[in-house]
Amino acid sequence: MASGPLAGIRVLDLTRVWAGPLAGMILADLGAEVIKVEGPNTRTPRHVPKGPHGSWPDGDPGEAPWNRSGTINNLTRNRRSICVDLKHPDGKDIFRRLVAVSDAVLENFAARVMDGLGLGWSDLARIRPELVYVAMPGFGGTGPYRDYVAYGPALEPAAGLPALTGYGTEPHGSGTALPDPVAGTHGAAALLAALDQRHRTGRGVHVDLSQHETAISVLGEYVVERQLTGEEPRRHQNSHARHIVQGTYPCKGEDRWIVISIRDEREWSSFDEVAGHRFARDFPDPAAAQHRDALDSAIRGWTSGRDARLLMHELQGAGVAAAVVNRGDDLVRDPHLAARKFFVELDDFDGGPRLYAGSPTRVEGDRHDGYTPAPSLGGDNEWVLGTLLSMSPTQIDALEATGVVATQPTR
Amino acid sequence: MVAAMRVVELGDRHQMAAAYAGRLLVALGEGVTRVDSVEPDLDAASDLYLNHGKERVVLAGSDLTALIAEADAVICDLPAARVAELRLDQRSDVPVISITPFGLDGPYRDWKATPATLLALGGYSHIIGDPDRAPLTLPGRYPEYAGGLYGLAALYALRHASRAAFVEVSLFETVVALHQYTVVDWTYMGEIRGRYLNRFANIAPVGMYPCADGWIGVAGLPPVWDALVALLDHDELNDGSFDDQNERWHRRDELDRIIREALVERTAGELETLGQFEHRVPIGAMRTMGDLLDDPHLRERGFWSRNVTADSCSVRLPRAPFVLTDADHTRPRDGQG
Repeated sequence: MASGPLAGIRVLDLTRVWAGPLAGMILADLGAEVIKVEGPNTRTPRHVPKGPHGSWPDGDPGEAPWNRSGTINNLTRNRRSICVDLKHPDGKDIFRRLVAVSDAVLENFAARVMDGLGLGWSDLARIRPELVYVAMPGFGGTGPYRDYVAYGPALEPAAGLPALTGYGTEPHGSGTALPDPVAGTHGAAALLAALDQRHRTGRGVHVDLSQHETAISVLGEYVVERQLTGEEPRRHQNSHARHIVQGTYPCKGEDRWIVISIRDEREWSSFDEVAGHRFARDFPDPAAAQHRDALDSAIRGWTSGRDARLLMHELQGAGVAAAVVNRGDDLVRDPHLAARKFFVELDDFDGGPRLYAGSPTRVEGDRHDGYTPAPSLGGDNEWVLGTLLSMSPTQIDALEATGVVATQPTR
Repeated sequence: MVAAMRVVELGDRHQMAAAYAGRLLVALGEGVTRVDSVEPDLDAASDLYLNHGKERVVLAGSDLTALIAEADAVICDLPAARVAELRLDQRSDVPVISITPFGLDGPYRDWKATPATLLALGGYSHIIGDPDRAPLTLPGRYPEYAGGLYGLAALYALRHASRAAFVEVSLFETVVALHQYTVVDWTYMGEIRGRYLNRFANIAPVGMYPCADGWIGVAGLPPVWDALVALLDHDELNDGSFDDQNERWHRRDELDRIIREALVERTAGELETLGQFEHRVPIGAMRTMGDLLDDPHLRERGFWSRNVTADSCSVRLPRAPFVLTDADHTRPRDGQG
């Protein structure tokens, strides 16, 4: 497991898909002991679809696809895994015993699920009054949308993002489930703030985190702008209301682009110098709205046919914010990320050694110390049941025989 | 009870990562003093949103040193060179969280960045938009706020350990760390994830669709396909010809045409209600900022909890997007700021 300042904190992580697992990963990367509590059928096609959707090693799901998914392995490093059926009375008993020796529970089920299992906050706080319990359902634990079915692509419009994203009049989604990483990063911070509150008061803490509200929070300034101006904020495509220039411009090669942001007169002057003084002459007032399209067109003409990466270096050398539009393969080859050893190689249970994005956080210059790959499904059953809960091998065998604990899906 | 933290926020002119972390710290009841070295490059709405409830000062030199000496923690998004100049990475008396665009070393250390350049360099823009048009960026400051959240998590982690350590967070690395598929599609399969119009890649139908009075987002994932077919009630779907999920992706243009036909006479509100309550399909009607301010769910949850006056205008600010409640249910920390 990773070393870090959260050593000694134990978290039970019941999360699924992306938002919750990301929160658990941030905690695990910081040194917490995070035990993934998985049902026997939670890595099955519902969550790891077959066909074109899975990221399998070399495209091959293999004999045990539940242990080979890139998207799951990517989010499950530095964890323990127990696979236990929480619908079974004995499974519930195991979970309650784990709660008694843990600091926090993290879950991103629909709001009614844990209460329905008899494992909600009020049930667990009786077992462990000092427990921190973080629930992160799509729309929070109260309110008219409490029981909405929530996945990122449907949450996104409900939070207003496409109203501000797109090429023109047509709203556009993010191409990813943006509310998930937004909620995951908030979830980790909220859990740690709750632990701090527990330290201050000596009492357990419940956290009601709404993924919908976290997604709105990354657009908070636009909601304030709406009130200050009385008008809906405009969709800016790739430009920026306050920048002299911002755009995404074509470069040499197929689907190669550069983003350039020029925020003030000094950067404009530097940009113009790199461009051989061609723009200031034709656009003496570059910030004028009526010239924006013509200026954009002129910049497009200048960047087209140029190598995006060379141009990025040239502009950055002159103090202008510019960046190539990187693809997945570009990221792995990026010299800055390589110099900082950002990618970390982990040898997964059944996936072989692969590179993963590391943690963006360095503590005292260190990161990735002691990192372990994602565990197999239920790969730590014996450790959790035997070492943590002091069960005998006979008891563990009985639980396996009745399907209460497992190491592979039951359907 | 232990007193609230006193946090010094050293703010950059352009980056607002520390400002977002500071906003949440205020909401959590901590005391935050924001130090602006120069006039921030910030519009009035962002300033109100991010900095309301903080003590604001402009300090330099020995005054700044004294302020830091009295703090429980420092969170800053000053440029790397300024961090070195202030010797913030040398302090052993107070936890310091430094959030910079590219970290404190490496060839890009002193490069300039904006949210749009970070989203481009970090691989996000390449998957947003249409394949035959320029990649899109996202509105707002997502890379900075996400970096602020990593910083906030680190700050509380150090506090748990009672450690006065130096932590650095890179915004570029933050963006790269927040991919679901882009990196693993390459490292696992050698595939480059691209742009797929207004859709989510490889799974159909997931994306944005027009309806009678606006737009909705539909997450038609495999577990809800049958329910979505029942909701749409279209002959070309009812015959089962799209029941295989791979077939749905391969024939996505045809599928989208059918779905658009099925939605054209129904309103966004009607579809969200029908989807969520009757068919259990994740459908979200697109809200504008004005819609969010009037939303009954957010109102009932007390999300717009703070009324302030700015420019003779009454403005509602959101609380933190999470509510902490003590075990005895008597001490909610609901981000009143």
